[in-house]
Amino acid sequence: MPATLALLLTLAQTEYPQSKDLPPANGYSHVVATKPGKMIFIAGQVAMNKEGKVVGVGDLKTQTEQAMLNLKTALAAAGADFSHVVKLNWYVKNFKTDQLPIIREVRARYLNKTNPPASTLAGVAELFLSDVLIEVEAIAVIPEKN
Amino acid sequence: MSQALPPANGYSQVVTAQPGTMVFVSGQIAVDQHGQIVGAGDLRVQTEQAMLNLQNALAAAGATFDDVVKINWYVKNFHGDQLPIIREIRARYLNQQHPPANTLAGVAELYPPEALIEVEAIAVIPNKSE
Repeated sequence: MPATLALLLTLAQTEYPQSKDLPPANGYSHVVATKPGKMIFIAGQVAMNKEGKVVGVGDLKTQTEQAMLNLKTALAAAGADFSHVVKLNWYVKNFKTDQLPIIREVRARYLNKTNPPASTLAGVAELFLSDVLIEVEAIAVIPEKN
Repeated sequence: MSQALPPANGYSQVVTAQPGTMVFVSGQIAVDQHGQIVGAGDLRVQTEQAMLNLQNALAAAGATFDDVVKINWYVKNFHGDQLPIIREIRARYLNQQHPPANTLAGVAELYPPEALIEVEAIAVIPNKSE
């Protein structure tokens, strides 16, 4: 199937309803509703290369980029891409508000800008390796063709 | 229900859902529709506002709290004595016969820094049987 047709099918099956009762969402959607389909659950991705070495020690921007690259690779392994992602969860070590522009800038280059997924971010005390600064996990749904 | 699990206070240990429209709601915090924090320093007010926002987000997708299958809480600097506040407000919104599965974690920081609590949800709207 041509990519454009696949995209149209995806859009038809997944909705991004707006609510005037909710505040503006910066680079994500408050709500995503999707028809049943193949569900994909991705483990929390961190800034490790395929040799298992942490990339960008002490550098949140580099780590966010590598984590998103790993997420993209994981999605592709399941036949999905970022247009199928309905939910993202971010865990940021020692999170401070002034780090948000870095995360938003990297995030925006990967997500569908018109219809980004729902998102949650939490600042956490520690991640599984002390050098890891950020972890991102995702749920994706590839709608059934009908 | 499972005899092998501890009692669940105001939530369910396990929820199953048949295929239907799945609704994913971003973490909601205590902001008003203009993005201004409500209830700075007051966990009770913030929990109430976050649940109101969650209700509005669900409604935008045609869902209600009856459709919620999973709810996740992130509480800044959480202490056990805050749980009664969260439980009391949660109980007024959730279906008491069939509450969703639930996870709570105390976290170091949220956004914006005045946010004390964040709540996200997954809902499934059952397909109408024909």
